[in-house]
Amino acid sequence: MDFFLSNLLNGISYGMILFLIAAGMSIVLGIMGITNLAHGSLYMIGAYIGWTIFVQLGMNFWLAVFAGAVVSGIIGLLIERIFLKHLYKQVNEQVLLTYGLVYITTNLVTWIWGGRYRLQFTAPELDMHTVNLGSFSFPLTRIVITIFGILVALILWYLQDKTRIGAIVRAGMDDKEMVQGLGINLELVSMAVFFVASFVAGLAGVIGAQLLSTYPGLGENVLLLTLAVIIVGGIGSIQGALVGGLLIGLIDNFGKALFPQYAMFTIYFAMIIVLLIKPSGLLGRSK
Amino acid sequence: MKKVCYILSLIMISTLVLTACGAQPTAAPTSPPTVAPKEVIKIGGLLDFTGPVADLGPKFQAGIELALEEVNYTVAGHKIELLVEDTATSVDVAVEKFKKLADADDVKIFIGPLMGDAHLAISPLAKEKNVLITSLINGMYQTVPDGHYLIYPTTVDAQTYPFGQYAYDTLGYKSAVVVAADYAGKRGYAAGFIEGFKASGGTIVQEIYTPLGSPDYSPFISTIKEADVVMYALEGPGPVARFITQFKQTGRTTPMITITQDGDYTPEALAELKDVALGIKGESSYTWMLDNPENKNFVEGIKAKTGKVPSSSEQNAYTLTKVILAGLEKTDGDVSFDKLFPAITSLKMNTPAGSLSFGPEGIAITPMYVTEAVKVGDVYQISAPLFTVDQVFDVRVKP
Amino acid sequence: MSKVILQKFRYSRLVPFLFITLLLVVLPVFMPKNVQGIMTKFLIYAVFAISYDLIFGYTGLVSLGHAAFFGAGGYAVAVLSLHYGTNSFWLGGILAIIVSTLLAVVLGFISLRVTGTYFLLLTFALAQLLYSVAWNIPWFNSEGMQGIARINFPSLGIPGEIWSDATLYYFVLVIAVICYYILRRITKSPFGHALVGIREGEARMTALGYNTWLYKYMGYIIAAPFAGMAGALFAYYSRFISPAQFGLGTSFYPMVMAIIGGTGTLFGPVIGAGVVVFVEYFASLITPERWPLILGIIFVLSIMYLRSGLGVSIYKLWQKVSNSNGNSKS
Repeated sequence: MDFFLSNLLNGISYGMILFLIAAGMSIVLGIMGITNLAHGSLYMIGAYIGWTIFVQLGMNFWLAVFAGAVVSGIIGLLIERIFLKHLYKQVNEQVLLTYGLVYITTNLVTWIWGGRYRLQFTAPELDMHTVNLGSFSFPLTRIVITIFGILVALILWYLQDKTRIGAIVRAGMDDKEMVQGLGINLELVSMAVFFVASFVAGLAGVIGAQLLSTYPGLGENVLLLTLAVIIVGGIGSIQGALVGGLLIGLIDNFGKALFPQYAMFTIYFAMIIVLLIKPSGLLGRSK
Repeated sequence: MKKVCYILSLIMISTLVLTACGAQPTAAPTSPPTVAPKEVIKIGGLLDFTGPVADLGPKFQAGIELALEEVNYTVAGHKIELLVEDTATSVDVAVEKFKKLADADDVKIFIGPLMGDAHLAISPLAKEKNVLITSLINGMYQTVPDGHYLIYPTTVDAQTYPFGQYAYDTLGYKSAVVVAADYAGKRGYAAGFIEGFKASGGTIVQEIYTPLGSPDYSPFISTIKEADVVMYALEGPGPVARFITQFKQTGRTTPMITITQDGDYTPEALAELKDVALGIKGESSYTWMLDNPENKNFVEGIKAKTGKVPSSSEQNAYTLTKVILAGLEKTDGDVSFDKLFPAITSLKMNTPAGSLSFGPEGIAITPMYVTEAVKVGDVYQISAPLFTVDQVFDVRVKP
Repeated sequence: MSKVILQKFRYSRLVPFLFITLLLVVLPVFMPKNVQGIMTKFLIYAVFAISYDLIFGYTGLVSLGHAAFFGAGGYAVAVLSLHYGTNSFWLGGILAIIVSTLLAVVLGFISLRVTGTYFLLLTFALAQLLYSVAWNIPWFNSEGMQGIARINFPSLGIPGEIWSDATLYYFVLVIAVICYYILRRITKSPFGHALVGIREGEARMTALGYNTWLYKYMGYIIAAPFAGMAGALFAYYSRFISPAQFGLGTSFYPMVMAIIGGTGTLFGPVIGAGVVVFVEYFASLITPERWPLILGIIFVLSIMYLRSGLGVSIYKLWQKVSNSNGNSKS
């Protein structure tokens, strides 16, 4: 029972981090049609900023979370304005350009912070505190991660489905000319969406650092996981990213616990099966 | 006019190609093995500055440089040049950099890399190019048949065998769970520990091998069975910290022991880990608290150079460099493998880590220590030895 | 009159090709061993890149898993070396071709069920699956490590043959030229033109009666053995194969090279391969720590400013000069 419960909870909390990372990329891909492979790097940058603020400068952890999110948001916006806006609908070019950005950010990060792997860090009030659940303890940090994940999911879902802005964004995805014809400044909306996606990535970076810490290769490793999540969950919706993230998190945890040597297999296997049965993902919009 | 076109393309392609020539040293493809008088002796350092063990690269470099500074970068009348390449904790990169240093820069003496599997890949190439190469911490027994490796402090399995016995005999643990990173080096350490532990009478309840760079050990931790002790052997300070923290977070109270403790618990890692690291005993090939004249001198040197106390990384690199220098003194500056290797393996010297000699096949004979992470005042550090084995032998080669 | 212009045209096209071939044959003799190695690497990646161009540039299929075939070819050679103790090129090369083609038959069938971004993701996932197979299955690994080491130079079964980095270079050069020639014939054939037609407008091609799915599938299968051969040559060159040869980074290389050099041209990817391999090499000499930064900047700049690719720009420049030249003469 312990085994099942601990892996279930661990899988959910890990899945929440995956959701937080993937949400931004999924929205940007599904709604703006932009393939941004540098999304994982935005996560990593957020984590490094958070590390600098909290570990190096010794300031408040929650401030570090906010700072990481804002910096990533701004950098994401710059990427969109300077590079991606010229490459509308050109998938090849987007893929290559953003991959080039991954190279650049990984190297810049090594230059600034050094190649050393940072240890995980978390707010002092959470450090090593656990909650007793029967015969085993569950770390408070994971609970915080899960709560953050749920909060962000609710906020984004609300924005997407229940607000006018969300409707505009979804409409713009389907018919750009029509929306522009209605007098809505779609460019501004695109910028806003991209900023929010990058902001969430940066936020995820610091929150996730409690578990995953940070290091220069993180951008690329996270990218692989994110692709797995959006394949399984479906592109373009918050619900898809959430389902995908949770599923991958659970598969990963149970997979590693039950078949430790084949952990890598299980995720890719899941990806392929989903792509063959329902290519648009479990909750994706079928074309 | 057509000629202009041809010249244009000629210029474009030739610039690319000629700069390739120009950027190369004018070394002939085959150079004579012996070094002419006053010719520079090159030592190649294959060290990791990026990747999971990136912390250790600068430490190794500091150790090598300190040894070279002590002799003013000169040996037997020759100037020494140190060429360092980043092997990025990747076997592919290590092989490429090795080839580059050996072919382009004509290096005949190599220190590193760290990773055991990189050694396995490079060993046949080292034999082909007839160059000398050393391990840094993970010495792999499988490279002995190729005969071009100096294995220091000893092979990975030999290093932890006495520690396995110590865990049973002295610490009193009768059963153990072993958690090791899934690659050649750490598997070897685990194997040595298991052999020693079982030889004394202990039982290994479970063996878990974790993928390199695992972000999250909780799934593996959830499967750990009950035992007297958990022995972990993970790839570097980061993963070690993660494992210990996540294990303690589950509320389990099983004691933990480890190997290469001094190498993994760098001063920076201890400062970030704080209380979590306390009370864990481990096998180490060195500790800065050792009380011998070479070590006192060495610790002062590293403190002056880096501002921190040394760990096994600096020491191993330092001692290996000193060994190479002593060998070169014996051969009077001759870098050819056939002269240098036997010169080195016939050496006996005292190092900061204790006594040192070699078997004829290239495996070093050094002490093993058991250490602990302690807190002295406000500082977290590695302790003096709790237990010493003066000479560790690899039973596969001991006559 | 027209015959003369035609002759001039043909002549002006053949000469640069001959000239480049001459350069590739003569120059390496004067170069140090290490640069010979880099040129070998360039040729290997050039073959990989032109193989990719067939499906990416000509057919318009954006695959992120071409490394599957490269890795398969490499592992074919490596496994023969590890478990059967042979480095015969006749066995290794043919096995590499067979394995990668069979793999393409299976993977192509799976991948081509979807299009667009999903195709991209599926090809990526399949290559990653092969990566984990290579990593985890002990039969695919040398004792105690990830990957297979101790791969020797190839052998052709000729008594008294001695191999070195130089002989390997010329061997690879011969194979590369053969591969290029074959692919050139394919792209110029009606089949090749049909692929381009599919890239430009699949609906139109279907309307014209072509079974576009079959053509895409055939194209995918035909490209694979070339990538497999490149992988096999890589194993002989590197003397070592690892799961990374199935990885995302390896899949990116041919795409990068094709885009930089100019997609859909076959010579473009060759130039792109040269640019990437040589820049990587020089940059790592000049700045051992910052070179990925330089490479990344080049990718970014080439997307923003060299849209049709470096190779195509050079070609257009060449055409402009030789055309004006031809006009002025007549």
